[in-house]
Formats: sequence, C-alpha cells, structure tokens
Amino acid sequence: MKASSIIITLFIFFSSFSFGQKHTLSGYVIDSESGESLIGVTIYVEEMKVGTVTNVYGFYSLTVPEGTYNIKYSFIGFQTIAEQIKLTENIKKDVELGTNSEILREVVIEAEAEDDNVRSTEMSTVKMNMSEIEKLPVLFGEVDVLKTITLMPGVQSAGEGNTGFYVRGGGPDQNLILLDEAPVYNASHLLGFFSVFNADAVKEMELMKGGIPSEYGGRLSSVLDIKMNEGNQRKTTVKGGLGLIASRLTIESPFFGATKDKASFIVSGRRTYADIFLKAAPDTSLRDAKLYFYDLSAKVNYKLNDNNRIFLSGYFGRDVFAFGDSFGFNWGNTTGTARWNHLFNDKLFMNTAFVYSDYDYNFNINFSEDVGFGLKSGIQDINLKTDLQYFPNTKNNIKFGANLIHHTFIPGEFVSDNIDSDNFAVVEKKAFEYSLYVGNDHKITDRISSNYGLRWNSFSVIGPGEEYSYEEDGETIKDTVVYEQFELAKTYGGFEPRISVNYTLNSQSSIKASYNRMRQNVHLLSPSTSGTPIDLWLPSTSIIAPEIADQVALGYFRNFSKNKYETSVEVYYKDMQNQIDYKQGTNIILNPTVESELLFGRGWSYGAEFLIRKRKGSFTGWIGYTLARTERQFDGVDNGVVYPSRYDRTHDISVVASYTISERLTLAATWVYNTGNAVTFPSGKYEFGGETINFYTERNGYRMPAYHRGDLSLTLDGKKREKFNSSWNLSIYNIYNRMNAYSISFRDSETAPGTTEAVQLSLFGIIPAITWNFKF
Amino acid sequence: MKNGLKYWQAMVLVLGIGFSACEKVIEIDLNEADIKLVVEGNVTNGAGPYLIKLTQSGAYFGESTYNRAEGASVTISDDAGNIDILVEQDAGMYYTQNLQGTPGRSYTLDIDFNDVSYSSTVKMPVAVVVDTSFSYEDDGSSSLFVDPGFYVLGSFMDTKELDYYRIQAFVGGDSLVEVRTPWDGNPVEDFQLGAIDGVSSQLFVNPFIAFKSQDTVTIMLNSVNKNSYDYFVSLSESKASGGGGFGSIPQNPPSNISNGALGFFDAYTEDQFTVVID
Repeated sequence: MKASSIIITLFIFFSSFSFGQKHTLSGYVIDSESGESLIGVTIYVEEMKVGTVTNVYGFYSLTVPEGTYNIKYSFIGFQTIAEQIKLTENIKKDVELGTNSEILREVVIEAEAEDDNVRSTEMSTVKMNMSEIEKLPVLFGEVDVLKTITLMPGVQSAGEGNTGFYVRGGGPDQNLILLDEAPVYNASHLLGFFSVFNADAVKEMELMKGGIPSEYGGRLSSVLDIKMNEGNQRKTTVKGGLGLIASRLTIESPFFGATKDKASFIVSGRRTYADIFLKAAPDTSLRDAKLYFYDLSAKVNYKLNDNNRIFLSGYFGRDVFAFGDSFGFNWGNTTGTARWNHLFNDKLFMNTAFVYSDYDYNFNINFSEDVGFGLKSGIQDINLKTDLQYFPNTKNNIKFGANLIHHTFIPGEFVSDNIDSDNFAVVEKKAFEYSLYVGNDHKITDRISSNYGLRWNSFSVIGPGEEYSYEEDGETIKDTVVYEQFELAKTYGGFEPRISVNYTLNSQSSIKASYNRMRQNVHLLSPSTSGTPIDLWLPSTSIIAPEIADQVALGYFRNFSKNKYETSVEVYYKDMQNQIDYKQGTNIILNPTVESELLFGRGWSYGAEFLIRKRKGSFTGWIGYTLARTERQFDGVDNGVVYPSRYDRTHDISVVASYTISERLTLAATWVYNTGNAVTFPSGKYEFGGETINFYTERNGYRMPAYHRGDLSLTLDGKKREKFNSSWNLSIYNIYNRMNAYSISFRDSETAPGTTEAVQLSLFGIIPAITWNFKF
Repeated sequence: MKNGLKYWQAMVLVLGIGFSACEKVIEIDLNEADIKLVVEGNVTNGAGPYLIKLTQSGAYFGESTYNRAEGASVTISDDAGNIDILVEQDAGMYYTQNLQGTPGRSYTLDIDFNDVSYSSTVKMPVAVVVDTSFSYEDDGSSSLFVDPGFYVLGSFMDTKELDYYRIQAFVGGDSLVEVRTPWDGNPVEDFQLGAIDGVSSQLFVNPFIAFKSQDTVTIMLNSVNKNSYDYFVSLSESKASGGGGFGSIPQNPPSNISNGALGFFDAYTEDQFTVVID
C-alpha cells in the first residue's frame, strides 16, 4: 500500500516535467471589499474552452501552452473580470473581484456557476450560502446552518428535543462535522434546538451525502464541511443581533498597523439568556435554575509572503444547566486549528494543519456543603494533517495527503468530595489512527469527467489501557489484558475506494454515478430513544469492529429555462456493516463493561431523492422529497428478524419559499412533513408482581404520528446607509400550532382505574420571535 | 448515576413547560398480540406451600383484569428426585403439597395448559444468614438526603458464590406491611452493598428508610441468582420505557419459561430479622 502511494506521488512530480512549452497561471482570488478569499471562483480560458475553480483557500492554478489568452474570472454576485494575458512564462496573478451592487439583489443567493450542478462531478452534495440561510424562518429567530441543511432531501432532522441529524439512514454519529478542519463531536446546543455554529462566523458550508472524495474519511454517512470567515482585510466591521433569547456580536478587522492584506482577525460570540425568565417563575426552586449556552469563535490569518500564509482558528462553546449550588451540568466543544498554506511552486499547493478537538460533559451534585460528587466524560483528538493539491494541466486536479490522529476517550471519571467514598474511573482508552489518500478530479473528455481516489485507513487501540474479554454468554468477564504505554492492543485497517462520474448529456442535463466506501472507528453509544449530551464516544476495540459502509448512487440532473430551475433525482443504496444496537437497559455511565451490553449487526438504507429548486428572481426556494427505507438485522434483536431502524423515515418533504416583496421586505416560509419515527409500542399487557406490564412483540413495529410544521418569517431591511445598516426579522415557528408528538408513553389510567392509556407529550406550539440585526 | 438521563429529561421539561409543552391522552391503534400464559411463582428455603400463579395476557387497551389460567396441570420436581403435584386452590392459584426448598438444589416447573407444555428450571443459590442486627438514630443534619429518624441495619457474610441480593423492609407486628425499599425492591449486585470482587466480606443490609419510634421492623434479605436479577432489573426498566423521549428501548424482560410464556419462575433463599425500635 505504501509503495503504491509513493509511486503515485513520484508520478505526479515527474509528470510535471513532461509538459514542454507550457506555462502556469496561478494566484489567489479575493473579495475586493473585505479581502476574504473567494472559494469556487471560475477561471476560464476562452480560446481553449478550459477552466478551473479556486480551492477552499482561494488559490487557483492553470497550465496551458504558451500564447495570448482572454481569461475570465467570474463568481456569481461579483463583477466578472476579463483580461488578456500573454503567457510566455509562469505568471502569478492575484485577482480582486468586486460586488456589483446592481445585480447583487437579483442573484446574491447563488454562489456557484449557474450550471455547476449539472457540470460538476459532485453529486449528493448540498451547498448553502449564508445570505440564503439568513432569510429563512427559524425557532426563536436564531439563524441556524444545521436546521437549514435538514430541509434538503436525504437529510433529516432528528426532531425536537433531539440532537443531530440523519443522512440517508445513518445515525447522528455517522456525520463528520468539520469546523475549519476540526471535528465537532456534538453539534447541538440546548436540546438540539440550536446548532453550535454561530451563523455570523460561517463563510461557507457543504454537505456531502455520497460520492465523498478521498480527502475525507472517518464517518459512514456524510461530511459537513464548515469554513469560518477569515476576517475583513480592508476595514473594521461590526455586526450583531439582539434576539428574544440570544444575542450575537461579531467584530472583524485588519490588524492595526499591518500593511494592506497582511493580517486580519474575526471574533464572534453568542450568548442565550432564556434563564432570565426563570427568575420570574412562580416555583421558587426554578428561580435558582440556570439554563444557557454561549459560544465564541475566533480566527486570525497572517500572510507571511506570497507563498506562505498562516491561519489560527478556535471555537469554544458550552451549555450550562444548574439548580442553585446543588446540581450542575455542563457540556461543550472546544476546537483549535493552526494551518499553514504553502506554495511549493505555482502548481503545487499545500495545507498543513494541526488540529485539536475536545468534547466533554461534567456533572456536579452537592448534597451538602462538603459532601458531593462530580462526574466527567468526553473525547479528545489531536490531529496532524497535510493535504497537497497538484494542478498538472487543465484536465487533472490531483489531491493527496496524510492524516494522523491521536484519540483519547474518557468514558467516565467519578470524583467524590466525600472522604468516605472512593474516586472511581473507567480506564481511559487511547487510539491512534492514520490515513493516506490520493484522488484526482479528471476531465476525461468534453462530456465525461470523473473524480476518483483511494484512501487507506488504519486504526489502533494503544496502551496504556486495558481490555476485557468475555465468556460465551458475552457478559461474564473472562480475562483482563493490561496494555503498556504505546503497546498496540488491536489494529484495524482497510482501503476505501471512491469514484464519481459525470456524463454530460447536453448543456442542460447530465447523469452522475458514484460509489464510495467509508470506515468509521469512533462510535457514539446512545441507548435511549433520543440523543443526549451524555451519549458516550468509544473507539473500535477487540469487541467493537469498525463500521463500514458501501454506497452507490445514481442521479439525473436537469436545468430548465436557462438554469432558472434546477431539478435532480438521485437514488442510492447504502450497506452498513458492524452497526451497534443495545441490550435492554444498557448503561453508558461509569460502566467499564459497557461493550458487553452492545449488539452488533447489519443495516442498510435505500431511497430516492427529488429536488426542484428555483434560484433566480424575486421568488426563490425549493421543494425536496425523499422516499426511503432504512432497516437493520441483528441476531440479538427479535431473533434476527429485519426491523426498521430508528433513522427510518418513509416520506420526508420540505418546502422552502422566499419572496422579495419590495427592495427592503422579504417574506419566507418553510413547511416540513415527515413520517413519524419507528418506535416500539406494546401489543398487549399482563400482570406480574401485582402491576401491569407491557407486552412487546416487535422492535420498532410502530410509528410516531407524522410530524409536520409550517414556519414563516418577514425580514425588513433598514434604509441603505453609508455606514450603519440594520434589519428586523420577525419569525413565527409552528404557525398553525401543530402539537407534534415528542413522546408517547403508556400508563395506568388515572381517570378510569383498571384500564390503561397512551399519553402524548408535545413540546412546542406556536412561537413568535423577533430579532434586530445590525452591521457597521 | 442513571440520574443523568433524568436531569436531562428535567431540562427538556423546564424548557418545554417554559414555552408551551403539553400532555394529552390520545387514541392509538395497537395490534393485538396472541394471548400468552403468564407464570409467577417461586420456591424458597422457607416453609411451604409455595404458590405458582398462572394468568393470561390481554389486549393493551382492555380492562386490566386478567384471565386466570384454570385447570392446568402443574408439577415441581427437584434434582434429588422429589416431585410435587400442585393443587389449584383458587382459580389460577396452584400450591405445592409437601415440597421443601433446599439451597443449592435445582427445581423444574412443568405446566400443561390447554394442551401446551411449558417448563422452566432454576437453581436455588446457597443460603444467606444475617448474623447481627441493630438500630440507630440520625437527626438528619448531616445531609439533605437523610431524613431524621431511626435506621435499622443487619449484617451478613457475602461469599464468592453469592452475587445478587434483594432487600425488603416490613413494618408492623403480625400483619406485615411492606414499605419502600432501596432500588425499588429490585435485586442488587453485591458491589452495590460494598462487596469487593471475589472476596468474602461482611456487608450491611440498610434499607435507608427512616423508621419511627415504637415501630416493629422486619428486614427480609434474599439471595437470588443472576437470571432473577436480570429479569427484575429489566422488568423495572420496561415499566419506565416508552416511544420517543428519553426512555430506554422497550423490551420484554427475559422470561425463563419455555414455549413463549411470559413471567418468571424463581428460586431464592431468605433470611429475616426483626428489630423493635424503643
């Protein structure tokens, strides 16, 4: 394996010498107003009818034969720049694009080339532009990138009071969520009603449901890649918002005294204050309650010289829930990324990053002043990665790289303040993971292009630590093996082939197909019927095998009326090995033998996704529909009978519409409908020990009632001013006050003794919210 | 520490109630499962007769009165060659005639009901003996979680053979009234009482209940086997689970009766002590 990657690398280097009279045009493209690098700008050579796009750092490289060319730099929402360039040697050319204020209003929501959805090899991919997201109605008026992404076909919200989202039948832990390359292990604040990402600090996000390129790995179902703003290079700007339950503030600026476009920073913070209302609660015990979250993100970038650039970015977020001094519970993510962009030459771009990521939760319970205990648990990653991008010619764009991760899993530490009881900790688990990949975006002919690649992943549980082996019953401990520092306890490895192909039928339509294999070595144990912050991350071990998914997808993409309407149909089939389910009463807290309470089996998901989208004009929006089935088969559940997964949603419909009433007024509405979750209800009852006991006949054999909800929002922009701009956003969540079921439980009836009844709990009725946003 | 989930749930409710959470009884269509035989009974090392109660399951939304399984033939035999044919004294209530439970023996229950045979075999664990007992008073000032009152304790030797116990407290003289017990009356693992793995040690039986002066308190200590522990723990979790929300995934507790019958046939040992508080 290593030999093959070295050969590929050598091939790439030598191939660059084999092009004779060719020269390279390369450089960065930035926004002239803010100095932010622009991602996905098209650079097109008219004479040769070839082109390229800028990468995520705004860099491009184009190698063509010697000559004089008309080169066009275009990016939707910005004025196209066309220049004649005489290429007799390699040229470095940085370009600034300015917004065209007149056309801005019309097309601002498009960040891609008009027919990009038809032309690119990307399929099963959702890209969202922040200006598009900001106008949509949201709960409590808090703009939320994750909530918006669940409105796309194939992506399902886990539901109210539930953390995470499901992609094509995969669990919430099967989504790789990257914030400036750092994995985020829990993407939800406050019961999943808010995502941990502050929209003001987000530059771009992209969700890949399938056809995932080889540079990404580590999770089965999807990659959500979120890039933070770099900070305005040209002037200091401040923006923020005051909302019903939260406020935000973002400051970005060039460093004072720094030369132009040399260095800049952005700091963005958010804090909720829902608990202020609790101070007025009639129940005095609630007055002491705290319930809030905050998050802070910051980024600095510094341009050393033309060939070297450094970025430092960090995120810190925390949820806090407490009752006076006697009970405290807090959880959150911390991530940090240090990146170095380096140009070896005008064809070879490198990004090397050192990434830190941490998720943990803490409990504190105090019985009296000096008697109490604390409990903490979490996961911590240290990650070193390097990605290289090589542009040999206009037909190929090669990416290759390596990634080393050291994981530390803290399953649980119990610390007592009371000298009478002992401290107790479940032994930490450490693991080392590395990956190597190479991939090529290859324009094979005018009609056929392909992105293909191969990834190798190796995962080792390492010492210090210990592992249990179990007797045949799977529960009694047979043996405990203790591992010394750096000793390998268990190693897994495997290849992950990836390929996607685009066959362009004509300028308006194309057919795309993809296959990818994904491996996952970190697993989230979530035995209750909803996700919670105390769900436990564990590595692959001798007992938990790596999860492996193979997915094939086929899609037809067609644009109508000069790309005014985009439509697509995609079908997929995904097979998932080594999935995890739970024996009854699996305890994930302070349980050293939790692995013995797990069940392993197979899962699969298949479905069809339909999307109709209008991206131009005063009326924009989309309709998405997903028809899917997700099932599981476990020897330990109902004796191997196939049952619906809890991520199974038969129908899922999203309607999103935004209408610009006048220059300053925008009305937006969303409506969602989905089949209720598969749940287990009793099919009978019996008496035991003098009590009524439910009798269950099949796992997930019932459905919660269908979920549907409509939201509405109205955005009023203030009068355009030179310096200070503001807007009001009024949003109404659940406008027709649908009482959706959060849970259904069964109990002995209080009103009619001797009978039993079903009780439905609903969380949120109609909720209006108002937010004032400003920018100067 | 399973409380973590409960606090999380409390938080959901605080948020929900703060806005507009609402609970209502709903109509729901449930399948009607086939009617199953339900077995409840045990053999102990205490004096007989021992009761085997046979009932039948019903539709979920029916009246919670269950049909008794009448006219079954029920026998219990042990591995020492004793066979007892049980007599149905009341509808569905079958009593042994002369069987005496002995620690360490295996017991097999055979039932023939409506031409279907059911059977179950369990082993009674070794006996447990409470050797000392006493009571003390606590004024409750040391902790918020300790009520003022009198506490009753017993002590016994935990041996390697024994891993699971059940503790129950009764108040009153002749007519014993069961009161709340720790772990909701479910069996506990010995380490929850402070045992160290594989070592014989003296453990205390403390129901953590504040009794009143003049109470006559009887504490019952059972040693149970692992299947019984698993069954009762699972049973109590099953009661707490539901669809959606934060309950665990609902499952039937693991019955030890063959042929699809529900319920549990148990064999455990018992020892009790009585303390009169002055």
